[in-house]
Order: sequence, then C-alpha cells, then structure tokens
Amino acid sequence: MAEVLDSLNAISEPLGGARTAPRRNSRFEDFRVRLGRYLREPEITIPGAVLLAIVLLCFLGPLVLPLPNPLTGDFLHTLAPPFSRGHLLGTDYTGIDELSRLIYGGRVSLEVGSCAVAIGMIVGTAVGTIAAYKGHWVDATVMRFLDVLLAFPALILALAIADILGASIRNVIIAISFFTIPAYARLSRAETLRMRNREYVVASRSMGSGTGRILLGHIVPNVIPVIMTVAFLQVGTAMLTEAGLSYLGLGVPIPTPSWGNMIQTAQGSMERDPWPVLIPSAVLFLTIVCLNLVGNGVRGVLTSESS
Amino acid sequence: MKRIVFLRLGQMIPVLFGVTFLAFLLDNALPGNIVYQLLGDNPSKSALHQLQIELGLNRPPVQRYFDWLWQLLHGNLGHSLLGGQAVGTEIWSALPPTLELLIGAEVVSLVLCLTLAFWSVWTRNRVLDRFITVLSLVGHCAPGFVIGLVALLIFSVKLKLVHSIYYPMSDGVAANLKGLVLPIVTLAIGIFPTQMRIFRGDMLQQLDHEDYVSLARLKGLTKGRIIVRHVAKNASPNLITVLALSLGFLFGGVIIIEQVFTIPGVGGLLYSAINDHNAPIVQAIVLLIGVVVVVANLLADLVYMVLDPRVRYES
Repeated sequence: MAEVLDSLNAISEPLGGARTAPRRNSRFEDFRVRLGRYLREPEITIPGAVLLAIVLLCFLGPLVLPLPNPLTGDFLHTLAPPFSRGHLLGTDYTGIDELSRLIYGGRVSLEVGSCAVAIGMIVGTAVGTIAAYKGHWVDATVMRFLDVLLAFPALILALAIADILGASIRNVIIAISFFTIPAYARLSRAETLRMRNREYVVASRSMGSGTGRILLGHIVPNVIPVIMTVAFLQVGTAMLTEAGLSYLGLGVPIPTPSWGNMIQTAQGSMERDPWPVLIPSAVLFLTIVCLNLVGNGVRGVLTSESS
Repeated sequence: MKRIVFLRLGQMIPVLFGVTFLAFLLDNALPGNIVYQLLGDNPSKSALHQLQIELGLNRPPVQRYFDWLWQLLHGNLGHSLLGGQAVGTEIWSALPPTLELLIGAEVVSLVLCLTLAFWSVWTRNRVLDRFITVLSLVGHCAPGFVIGLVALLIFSVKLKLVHSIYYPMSDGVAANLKGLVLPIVTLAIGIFPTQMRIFRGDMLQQLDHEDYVSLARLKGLTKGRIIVRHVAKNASPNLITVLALSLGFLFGGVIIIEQVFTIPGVGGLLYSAINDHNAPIVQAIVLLIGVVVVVANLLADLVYMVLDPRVRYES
C-alpha cells in the first residue's frame, strides 16, 4: 500500500519541487547540494561543457581572437572553401569571413533565445501564480486567454508580431517571448495550485500577510526550481524559432548576422558552395542538441530526487 | 457523455472568438502600409485618402472588426487588398499542395512512429532503443529548413533522384510525388519523435505495470496478440492527443518548408501576404489555422473520452 501511495505521489509531483518551505539559510545549501548532483551526471556535464565552450567562444571570442569584420567582405575572395588562407571556415558570397560571422551571429542567436525565454518566464510565472492564487474569474479569464495563444502555431504568431513591430533584434525577442508565456504560465499555475493551501502559506495568511507577500515570499521561490528545469529546453525552442524567423527574413535583419539569416543568405549559392549553409546549420544543431540534453538531464535528476 | 461534449463545445466559443480577435488585431496594427505599397513611396494626400476610403481603411478599427466578423458569419472572407480577388478563392487555390503536405507528413510520421514503437516494444533491444533516442533527438533539434536544405542538396542537387520544385497533380502523380517526397519527409521528421516517445512510453508502462497484461500472459495469449489487441489499444489515447497537437506545429513548419521547396501553398500565400501587409488574407489564414487547431484538439479530447472510459465517468 505504501508503495502505491509513493508511486501516486511521484505521478502527482513529477518535478519534485520543494515540499516544505525551505528556510533562507538552507536554500543556498540546497542549491549547492543540487549542483553537485548535476555535476556527477555525465549526461549533463558533457553537453554542458560543449554548450559552455560555444557560449564562451561567442561572447569572449570577439574580444580575444583577431576576427575580421563580420559586416564587410573581401570581394576578391568570395565563396572561399574552409581552411583557405586567412579564412579558417572560408567566406560567404560577399567575401565575409565565415568564422567571424558565425561567432558574432552566435552571440545574437544566443542572446535572442535566452532573453526571449527570460521575458516569457517572468511574465508567464507572474500570470500563472496570480491566476492560480486568485482563482475564480481571474483564473478562468487567464486560462481562456492562454488557450487562444496556444491555438496559434508559435511560428505564425511570432511571424505576425515580428511583422507588426518591424524587423529588429528587440522585436524578435518580444515576438518569441510572447509564445513562451503559455508554457510557463501553465506550469507555475499548476505548482501554485498545489501549494496554495499548504500549512506555511495558510499560516502566513492567518498572520495577516498580503497577497504580494505570500506570492513573492512563499510561492514564487518554490515555483522557480520547477520553472528553471524547462528553461534549457525552452531556450532551444526559442533559438529554433529565431532561426526560422530569420530564415524567412522576418527575424534578425541583415547585415547583423544570426545563424538563421546566415543560412538564408547562403542558400542562393548552395549548389556551387554548400559550406556557408552547412556550417551554421551544424553549429545551430549542435547548440540545440546540447541545450536539450542538459535540459533532459536536469529534469531527470529532479524527477529521481522526488521519487 | 453528451453533457461533456456540449460543455466542451461551449468552452470553444470564447476561444474561437478570441482567435478571430487576435487574427484581426495581428494585421491591423499598421493599416496604412498597404496603401503605401500600392501607391509608392510619395503619394499625394488626396490619392492616399481616396484609396483608404476605397479599401475601407478609414473607418475605426472596432467598426472594421465587427464588419469583418459579420461578413465572416455570412461566409464572406473579404477581398484581397492587392488584386481584389475573393480571399476564399485565393486560399482555395493554394490549398491542394498544403493539404498534400499536411496529410502526407502526418501519415509518414505515424508510420515511422508505429513501426519504431512496436519494433522497440517487441524486441526490447538496447541498441535499437539507443538508435531511436538519437533519431528522435535529431528530429527534435534540427530546424526543418536545415533538414530540408541538406536533403535538397543530397537527393536533388547531387543524386538527382527527386525534383526540387513542386508539380501539381495535373502534371501526373509521379512528378507530383517526386516533388513532394522531400518536404513531406522533412516535416514528418520534425513531428514523429514526440509521437513515438509518448506511444512507446505508454506501451512499456502498460506492459510492465498492468495486471491485465499478466493475466493475459497467464491465459496463454501470444505476445503479438497482447501487444496489438490490448496494450496498443490502451496506450493510444495519449498518442491521439499528441497527433492533434502536432497539427499546430505542422502549420508553422509548412510555412518554412514551402519557402525552402518553393511550393505554392497556403504557407507561401501567408508569407507573401504578411510581407505585403495584405490584411484580409493574413486574417483569413490565421483564422483558418486557429480554427483547425482548436477543432482538432477538441476532436482529440472527444476521441480520448471514447477510448478511455475513466475520463468520461470521472468528469
């Protein structure tokens, strides 16, 4: 019987989360222990290391490496193959160094992906916790609104928003963050519903704490670990959408490089020289695979912790 | 059962209403642009004004929204701002290739999903499971246009096995299929991993943890019969939900894939309408997609209820 109850608990609390209100001094300790547990899993550390290398290369590379200008090309050396002199990864059809474009473009793609998810996470969590805590018509209205957002394929929504706002990096971030909202809102709503009548919340309420204090002090800190596990997966999805939008010419505007628009601009000369298409594609793919592996690994650890 | 169906239908109304509102909102934030598109960069004030009246863009947005909704209820989707053709006709003529893509992708994806899931559950082979994991990771992480472009490069440019552009059905079934096989497979690769993971996971869960499976084994039923007749049937509800959800993803994918393979479908129409700020077409297509996705999800919920009586009785 105990086993059955345990397995039921595991089903109803798939992501674990904190069962009791962690005290402030133990929260840091918790984090340290958890981090140690993540670092023991090769399924997290290997893709994590690759991911870290990519991020470092994209953000520190321009400062350290002698990269040519990613915006202006050398018209005498267009479509140079990889490993040619002075251009490690070759050049594209306007003679711009591929490696330089790849690194600067990676910075843009990573920034767009993580900023969009950060915004979606903040807005979504706020909306989800408030809806669940307030309940009644607030909850019903928010849920219907989320249903509408979910009815639209993410890309089409982002396409239309990006089109309305005009193509710029900031607007791509806004467009993509828009559709990461429902996932976070739903997740944090479910978590808040589980926690809203826990002893410590009831205790705090009966001591006279207001809604804001309960949400920020007791509920949000416990929702965050669950939310964070999805973040890696979401950054991957956001980067995919950015690439798709940029590929369609409605994302990051040229000449600013991003992995998506690099593929788009190189597509025309693909038959003569496939490298400018293949290289950014491969790097984009590798980054997203790593994000997914890390995300799955983190979720796995959390799930096994709770059972 | 009847009550739940009606309840769900009732819940659909505000959602559909929201969909129409969002569809209208999406392409009306910049109503002036189409006018500039038609008249060039420096139109005279009077020409600008006259064209706005002609296109009905001078009326307040709220009024336009309700006019549009009223026309919609009469089955009238409006006229394209660029050529003046009826929006319904434009979409209708772009529909065949898109439908071929959508249906083809779902069929190929389902075949892949069922084959791999059954194979994996039947053999319980570690190597096969690894392979499946890697394959679904690739499908999940590679952007559709990357798969499409690489496939185009290999099978069309280098090997010359398939066409790189679309041929309508009227040019013969063979030409049509030769042009569509790559985009269909590309789309299917994007959606089959989720379907397979869910179906395989559910089947394994049933096989290992359900008493009725042990009973069936004790009764002497063959492995094939247990898996196909009992386990697969009980594992199917979640698969159906995921099938409906994948439709939304496919619509997004279709826009990009139609660009990659230059297929003159609904995705291409939407893409060019967005670039031209051709509001009636954008609204109509966004609305169409929203409605199809909402209805598909509703149908999936209903089928779920039919397949899994517990849901029916609990609610």
